[in-house]
Amino acid sequence: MSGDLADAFRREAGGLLGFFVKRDVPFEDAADLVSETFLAAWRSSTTSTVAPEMLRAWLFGIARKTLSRHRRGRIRRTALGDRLRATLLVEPAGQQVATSDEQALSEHVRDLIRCLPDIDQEIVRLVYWDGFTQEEVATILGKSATSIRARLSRARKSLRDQLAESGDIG
Amino acid sequence: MSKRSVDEVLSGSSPTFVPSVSTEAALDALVLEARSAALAARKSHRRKALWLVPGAILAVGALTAGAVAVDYLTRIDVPIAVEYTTDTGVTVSCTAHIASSYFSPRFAEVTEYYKNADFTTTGLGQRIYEYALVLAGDKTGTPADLPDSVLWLPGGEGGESWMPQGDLSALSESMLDFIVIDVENELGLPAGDGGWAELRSDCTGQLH
Repeated sequence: MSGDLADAFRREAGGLLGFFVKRDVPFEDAADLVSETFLAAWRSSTTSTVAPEMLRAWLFGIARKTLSRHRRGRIRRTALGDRLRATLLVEPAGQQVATSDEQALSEHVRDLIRCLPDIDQEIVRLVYWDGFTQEEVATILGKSATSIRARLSRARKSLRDQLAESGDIG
Repeated sequence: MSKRSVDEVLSGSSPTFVPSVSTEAALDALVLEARSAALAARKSHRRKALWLVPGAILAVGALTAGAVAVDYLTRIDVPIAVEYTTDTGVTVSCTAHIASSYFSPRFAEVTEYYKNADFTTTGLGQRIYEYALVLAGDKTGTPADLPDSVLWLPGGEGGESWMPQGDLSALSESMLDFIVIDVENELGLPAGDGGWAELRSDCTGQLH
């Protein structure tokens, strides 16, 4: 079981690091947050009872709480993240080449997302950036699927209207 | 450029992140190192916590006479009810009072947890009893008998130096593991380089 979990955690590790980096966490801090997330996951008494299909959402749920603690200044630097931190600082993650138009649009959309209520921002990012289903987002955020569906629908409509107004979507 | 849909635009707004090969390798190592660190923390916590089990035994039946006095322990002022049925059909009900050096930073939350927890209806009392039987050497245990915070089966692999305990000692240790250490792990309380826990109880250690 422990070996299976280790394999599952390894499969999610890159996405987990990306989860923090995409939310503007500097590389040196992201290494600690990944460490904290895996430490908490291994220490959790529920680790072995999580259904395999929900493991990713469960892990990202821990990641989100870890990020929340980080933003409240409650994550300490530990030796556990040293190697990852050193690697990230020397060899940052790759960036795909995008045209200036695409970059400008992406930045514009990210700005629009930042104007949403906090919880809606996270729902949109989890769905569109991290590829979670609405049910998985409900698990991650600890809310009902109905509430997530309603909030996502409202947020999407708001973003669609703004993007249509600026002529960015058809 | 043709106009895209709102979903395409939203998906496309994700900052790009592609871990390098060496980052992937560092992440792989981190997963395993985190597992080792988590296991070590559990072992350390458990080893230190057991220091106070003799105190728990001394205090049995002497709740009003005072028991182990360690200033940095934070006590939960909620009696915790335990109930189990022995293999001879006797239903045993008793209570425990607990303290830990890890409760302090989140005292209100921990107290609330214990106030709301009804271990008499969750089957935890029976699990405490079954594991106490294992610790007392009255039953060959299986991994299913273990509290989450205990990684080795008494008498099993890695536990060769284990010796059966007296009934009261076995019950006290089982209660401490299930009621204090497991809950600390469940709540994510810090388990650094060792801590202290105490359990006082009016349970008499009846296992049969």
